[in-house]
Amino acid sequence: MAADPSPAPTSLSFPRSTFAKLTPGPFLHAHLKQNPPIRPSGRTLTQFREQQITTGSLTHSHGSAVVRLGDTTVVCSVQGEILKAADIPSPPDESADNEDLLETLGLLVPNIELSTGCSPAHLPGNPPSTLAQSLSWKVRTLLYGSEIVNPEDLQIMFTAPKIDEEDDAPVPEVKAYWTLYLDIMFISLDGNPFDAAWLAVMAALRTTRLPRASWDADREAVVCSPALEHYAHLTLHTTPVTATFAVFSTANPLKQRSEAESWVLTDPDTSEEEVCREALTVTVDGKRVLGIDKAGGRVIGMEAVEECVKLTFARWKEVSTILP
Amino acid sequence: MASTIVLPGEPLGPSATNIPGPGSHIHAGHLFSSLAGPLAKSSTSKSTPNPTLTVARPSGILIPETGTTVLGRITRTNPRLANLSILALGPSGEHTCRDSFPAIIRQQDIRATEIDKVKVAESFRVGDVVRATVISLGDERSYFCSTAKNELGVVMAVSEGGNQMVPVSWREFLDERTGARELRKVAKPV
Amino acid sequence: MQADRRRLNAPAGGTAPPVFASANTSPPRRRRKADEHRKIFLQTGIVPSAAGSAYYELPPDPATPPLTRKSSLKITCTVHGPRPLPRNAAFSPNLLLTTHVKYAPFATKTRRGYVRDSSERDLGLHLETALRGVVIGERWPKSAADVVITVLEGEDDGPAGAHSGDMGSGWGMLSVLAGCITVASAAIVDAGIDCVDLVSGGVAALVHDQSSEITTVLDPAPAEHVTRAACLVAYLQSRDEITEMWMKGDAGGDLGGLIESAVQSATLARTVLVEAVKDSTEARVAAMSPPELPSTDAASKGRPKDVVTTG
Repeated sequence: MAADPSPAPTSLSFPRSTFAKLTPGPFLHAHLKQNPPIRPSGRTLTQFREQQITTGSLTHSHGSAVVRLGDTTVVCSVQGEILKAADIPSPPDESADNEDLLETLGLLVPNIELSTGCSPAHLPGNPPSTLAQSLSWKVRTLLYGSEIVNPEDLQIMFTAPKIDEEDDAPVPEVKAYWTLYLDIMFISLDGNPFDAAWLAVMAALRTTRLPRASWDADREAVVCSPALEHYAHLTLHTTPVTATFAVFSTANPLKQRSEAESWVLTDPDTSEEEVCREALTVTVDGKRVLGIDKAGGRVIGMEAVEECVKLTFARWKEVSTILP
Repeated sequence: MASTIVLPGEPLGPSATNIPGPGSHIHAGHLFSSLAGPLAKSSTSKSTPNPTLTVARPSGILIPETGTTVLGRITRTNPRLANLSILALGPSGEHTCRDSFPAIIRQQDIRATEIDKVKVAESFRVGDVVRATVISLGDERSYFCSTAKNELGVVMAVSEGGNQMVPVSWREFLDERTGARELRKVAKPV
Repeated sequence: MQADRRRLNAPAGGTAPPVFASANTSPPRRRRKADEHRKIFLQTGIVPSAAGSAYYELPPDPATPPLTRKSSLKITCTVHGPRPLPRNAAFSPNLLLTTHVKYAPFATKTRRGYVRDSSERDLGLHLETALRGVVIGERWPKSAADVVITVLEGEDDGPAGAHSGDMGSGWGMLSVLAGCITVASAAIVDAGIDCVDLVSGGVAALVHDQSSEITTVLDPAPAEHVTRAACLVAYLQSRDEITEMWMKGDAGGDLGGLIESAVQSATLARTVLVEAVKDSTEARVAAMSPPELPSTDAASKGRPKDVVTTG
């Protein structure tokens, strides 16, 4: 048969979803090559998915939020429990640095649960995967590092009454601490778990109301007031907002480096995450950058990081207004 | 034309006057639906006086069955067989599978003619997208597939230089950028 | 609780839930009739990446006075399958059905752990029994299906203040199992797995009323009364068959009557199930009809667009 130089596109009329499944890389590439570049979901390169935040639906939690970021759905619950100062095995020094006190005592305990059947790749029956463990650790690092909660807000103080007139004024003592358990469970996962999880954590913390706790010297225990009007919101000192980006590149060891093209995709979904080898997460609060976390690849340089930081500041403005 | 939607457990008709088609089952002399979907009644003729009642599954076929045409990607090759990962069902892959199904194409099932002289390395390479039919459910690990027909074989391939290739004959793909040709068992464009 | 090395653990020293000076809520009283089921919210397709999924909720009654503690059952279910058998499994000519039930740590009054405990495994087994009688396994050789249930909020075990089983492993578990059966049925049908019928769960209980008389109630909320006996059934209406039954407590002489009441409760739940499945199937069929037309119109912003992809 004579060689046919022209391509034969009409011989391959697969539906979109089949192309996406058979050749995910070229499928995404064909979309990004367009002018202007567009993603298979119809989003632009810098567009986040639509988010929906609902709070307060869990009865047994002091604060809760359900966040939907596109098809990713996550539930965060904040439950407060009491840690008695007397029970702490190695109590920190009186003069210990306040900044590390929260972390040393371990008063914020986040855990991300992915093995809920939220996607076919995350079925129960296995211990937490590397992804789940690293996400939990990232949330923990951000919670402590951003100093969103101060130890004073979680302390339960007690001032012993003066017994004799000649005693000095009694010094208030820390008798117990509130410990906050943040349980983050994924109902559905379609990419970018960290942004969704952090958004849920923020929404849940901002709507958390703890009962008023006081030290009962007779019982040697903490007793809380049941009155609803005595419940108080947590004092939050910062509003960190995160944004995650993935980089799609056609760089190929078989081809020239200069021929490679790359695009930075904001808020990637699962199909995009699977063909991207490089990712970047930026965390900001107001005008400060709290952290930049980059993984893999060599496409993103200083310029691209600055672009992403700009986008994250814009995202901060958007999110801080809609957070409850 | 809107056909009625039936739900599992809904009675469809007596089994004496109806033939059960896919998506239905018989219980106590009566036909019932097994799926939630539109009900279809086949036409009757002199030779088949009873209509066949079928309930269509809105999500389409779910697992490969003997005779299904499938699309998949080659994951491994060795001199006796090629491993295929089935990704979509149907001749143009209308139904993508959520989980890929492992399958095997044995050397003797690659082509219809001169099957003992066939070389797997000259028919498939890892990463090729292949159209095949399922010939058997196989063992607990893999389905068995065959590409021994003209319209079956490699539909998409990437050259050693990393470029998409176009089919030029039943045996060759051409990399237009470099001009190189590579041997494959090519599927005839449909 | 031993420290789980793969999760972030409680601070050294251990914590305890807050103790209140007095009960902070008044116990709820059953406001509906003895044969009335709570309103059920059931929706399928909540997890698009799974083959089938559904969400079941008993929303709190808006009419309850504000200081009354009200919990509302919330269960999600995803079905993954039919999928290839896992590596070590032997060839099976029927569908290999596995169920997983897990309570979220915040689902009950007392915090639960992340590791599955025996009560959750027990629930999973009861659920599997209920579903096995419904799924037509012979149509799916060499395949497996996983039914994964997450209980986001469980049912209280008894009136507030009662210390028996704050873990939800007493009477509350029956209502949770009934919800699990109904939601799993919706998710399995959503996945397109052949079933002989829709199966719904129903609970009936013998309770001591304020007058200390024993009455039968359908869909008991254990927080609302003192329960003496309760029965759960998984019921197939078109065949009038029961695939699973679980009875707790002392039913006295009228065992058959209690089972009948449970069947009645399951029938009430089934009406919601039928409606939910019908709605989602109609939506799916309607979405299927117009074929996907390739369009390179750049004006259609925000919708997936086709691009020419050469092979």
